[in-house]
Amino acid sequence: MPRDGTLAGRSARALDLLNFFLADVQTGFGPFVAVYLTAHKWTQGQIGLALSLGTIVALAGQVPAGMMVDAAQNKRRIAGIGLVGVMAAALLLALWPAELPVLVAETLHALASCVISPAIAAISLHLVGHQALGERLGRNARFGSIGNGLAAGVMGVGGLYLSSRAVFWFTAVLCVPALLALIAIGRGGHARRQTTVHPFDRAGLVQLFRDRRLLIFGGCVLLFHLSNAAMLPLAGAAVTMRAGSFANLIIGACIVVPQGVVALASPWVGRRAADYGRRSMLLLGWLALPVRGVLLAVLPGPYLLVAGQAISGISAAVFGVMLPLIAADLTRGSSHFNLCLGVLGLAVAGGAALSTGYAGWVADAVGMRAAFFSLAFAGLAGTLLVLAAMPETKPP
Amino acid sequence: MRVIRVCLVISCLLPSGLPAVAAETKPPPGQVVRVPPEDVMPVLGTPVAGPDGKTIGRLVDVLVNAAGIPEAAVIDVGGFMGVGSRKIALHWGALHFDPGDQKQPITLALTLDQIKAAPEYGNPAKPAPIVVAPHARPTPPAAAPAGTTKATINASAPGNTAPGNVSRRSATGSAAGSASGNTADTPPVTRPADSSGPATPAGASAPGAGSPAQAEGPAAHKPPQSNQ
Repeated sequence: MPRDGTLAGRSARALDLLNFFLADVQTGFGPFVAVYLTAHKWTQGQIGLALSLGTIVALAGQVPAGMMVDAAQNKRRIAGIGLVGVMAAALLLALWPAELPVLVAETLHALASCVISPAIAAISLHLVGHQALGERLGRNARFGSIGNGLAAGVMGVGGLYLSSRAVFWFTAVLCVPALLALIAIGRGGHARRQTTVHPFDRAGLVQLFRDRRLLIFGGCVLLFHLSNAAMLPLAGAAVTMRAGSFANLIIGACIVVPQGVVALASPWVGRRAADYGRRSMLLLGWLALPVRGVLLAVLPGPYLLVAGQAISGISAAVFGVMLPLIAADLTRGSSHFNLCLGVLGLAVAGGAALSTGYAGWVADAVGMRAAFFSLAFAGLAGTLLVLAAMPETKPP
Repeated sequence: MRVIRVCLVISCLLPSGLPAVAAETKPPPGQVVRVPPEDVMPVLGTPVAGPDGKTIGRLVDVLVNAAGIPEAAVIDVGGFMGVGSRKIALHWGALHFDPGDQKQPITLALTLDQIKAAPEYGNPAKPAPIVVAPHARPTPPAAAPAGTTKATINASAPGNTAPGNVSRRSATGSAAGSASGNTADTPPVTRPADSSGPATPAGASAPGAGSPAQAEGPAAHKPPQSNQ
């Protein structure tokens, strides 16, 4: 089993743990921030402002952060700085939920997240090389989703029974094992090979942005998140309308169950993509979106909704593995892997930001079911774009 | 933040407690009235308990009419880790405030099924779908537990404001909307200073009950304007 050999060892296990703890940490941010601020007597307008600020910074930061990680000699250090930033953001939120500290924390978290995910992808690439990257990313996604699912469960219960502040203490504390895991990855060969000599080398940038595949895949990614991002909140709202006192439990299941699917499926996705090519996996993940949208629209009852939601695990597994994998394919031999990730990250953040507004508008104007159908339609458009335009990027 | 909080405290206070206090002591302008915490409470972000005593959400906003009197409370209900929560607007009279109660300062006279079926309150520029506590008699027997009786006095009143939001509240509010709306004007006036158990709901919910009678004409037209 030669491929397993490349993944074994201390560094690989440390990277597993890093993905696990990082996902834990990221779970604390996100929609829960709104709950926390509401409990601290924030008005809806102020909460909206703080969350939008985070979204805008995340959008604006993707590409510069990618360039920065490309230019950094030591990807581990830059990931570490990002982690410290996230920890500071969590502490700020926990200690001082007033206007300015929260805005600072949201900005800090958005910037740090822009840096951390490309840095970890870069560390993974340098650790195992292009050949074994598919499988490595599968493992990253597996441990990330286990972390996500566990953290959502623990924090959800903690937030209910302890206090909403406890969630951010927990988040900050979890940054410590994440940092330790990062250190434990070791110096290794992940430092220099893919570092740009010039952060702004024009030839490389022109080459990257002239690549039609990046444009097409960026479009696919945008449509993916346009379809994906609002589906869980919308399903959650549907559950609250139908399920009554069990609603929280069912929404918890809607969050946790797909993570289990990701944990099971992503290593398989990584192997399949490495052995048989990217296109079939892309089609699988993207096609799962319209299927899920239609199922969520027509399935009656909250329990079946969890089943429909479980399908999101398939798209999430595919997406988590394929985004960095294709970015690596597109930048093979160049030193713009992280910039490419940043551009795709921009598509992710943009699609997600548009998704909520789009779905909310349709839900408001026509109804919940129509909103699910319109999200499914965006997913279908993405699938068709993959089918019609996205070439195979697996090197022969 | 503080300004809003103070405003809310005042808005709760004004229609019920303060006029009575003012009438008795007549503080000169600028003088500070110290109101004990058993008499007033901040409401923004405060948990709201359902009829079974379980927290169902938090009060996140207050909809007031042109007179500054609360018409409805916006409550963020449900959700897990912030996912799946939604905002619903409930008639002010459907809420029971008990400033002295540390654990459950706000309780709700609606059943879980009614909360579940409530339409989402979203766009403030549109007619707000305000859910009214149902009148005990016309609704099915299951929907009229002991907790509802407190709200029946007020439930009849909002019928007057119905023109502002007929379209979207038909499902939950039709029963109450059809009831006649002028029986609730007297109770708050008769016992302003009584602080025993049953008096609190009447005093606290007085604004909701009194408002349509005071501003019957404008109330039908104002809500969309004042919510911009």
